[in-house]
Amino acid sequence: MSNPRVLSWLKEGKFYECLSGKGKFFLSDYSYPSEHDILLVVSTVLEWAKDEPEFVSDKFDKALRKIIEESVLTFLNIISSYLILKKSKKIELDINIKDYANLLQSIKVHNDKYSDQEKYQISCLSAAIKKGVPEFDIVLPWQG
Amino acid sequence: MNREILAETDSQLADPNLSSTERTALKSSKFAIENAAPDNWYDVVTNVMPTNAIKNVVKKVGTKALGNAGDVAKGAEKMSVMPHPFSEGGTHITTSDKLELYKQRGATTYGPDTGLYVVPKKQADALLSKAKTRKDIEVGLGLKEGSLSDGKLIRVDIDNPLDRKLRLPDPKTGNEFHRPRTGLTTGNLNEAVIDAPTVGIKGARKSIVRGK
Repeated sequence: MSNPRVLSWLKEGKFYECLSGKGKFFLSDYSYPSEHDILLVVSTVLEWAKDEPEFVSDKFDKALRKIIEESVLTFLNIISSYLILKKSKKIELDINIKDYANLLQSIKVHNDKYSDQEKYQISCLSAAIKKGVPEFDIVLPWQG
Repeated sequence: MNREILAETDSQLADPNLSSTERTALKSSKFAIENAAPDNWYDVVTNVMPTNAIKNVVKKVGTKALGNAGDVAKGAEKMSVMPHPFSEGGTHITTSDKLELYKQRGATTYGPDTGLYVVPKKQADALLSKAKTRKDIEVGLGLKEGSLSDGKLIRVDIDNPLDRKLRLPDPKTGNEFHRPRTGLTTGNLNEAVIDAPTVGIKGARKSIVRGK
């Protein structure tokens, strides 16, 4: 099911804003109130993709490529949400996960950019994604 | 707000079919609203900690000085046997997709350090049995549309939320439907926050809600 407010933002072209959850686009998650409800946003993206798969996939991909350069944690969180929802909703976007893996390898993840808690979250998410998607493989600096 | 609640209480008191216990409880609530200090009246109204709040009023004002109201206050003290809404457990309703995502992020508890939102188990039972769709559940809990739409519907039951620092939700953590200082959801369920239980700990059980 779509969230009408998120859908209207997406239709205004605010994919990057909705996915990154900055400012007024932050949607509190009921179970983890300090976290952006990324599952709700990606779910709405997937619902819309039923009608306009190419357009929605392209917008999603462009937003992800921008986010990946800003925050690996946010990026992995979105990809992880996408993979969970792809399974439960049985809707797929026309995106190439392998491309993201290559892009991640080329991005220098600085040790000092993330707190220990964030490093832990990034490690857990990347391990989970690797487990579910064999071609998704990154080596994080703190993992040697 | 006080005035609205008092008017509602008066109209409920006019119901001839009220039992004597219900009548005493309503009179006690009315008395507490009229006399409680402004910073704790909402606790009385929402039943988050009714007995203590009423006792505090009695202690502060004194029964002798109260005249007829004193009788009500004594009645209120007797209400100490009234069960606390969370005494039979609390429930957090979520989805398998949410639990999966946070598990992947390394979470070892249900909910964050800031606390887990719960409603009384009995009220959750009633909501789940009455709701025809997940949207009904979202409305009852005061959640954004679509919050519970994906994955399996999951309930996490906590046996004794009173041992987990039960408190009113901090408005800073609430969404746009949050009703600050009421302790109530948009569906008028009691709502509180507890220290998040560890996954797998005794006294916190996860189960799938079938048929929703």
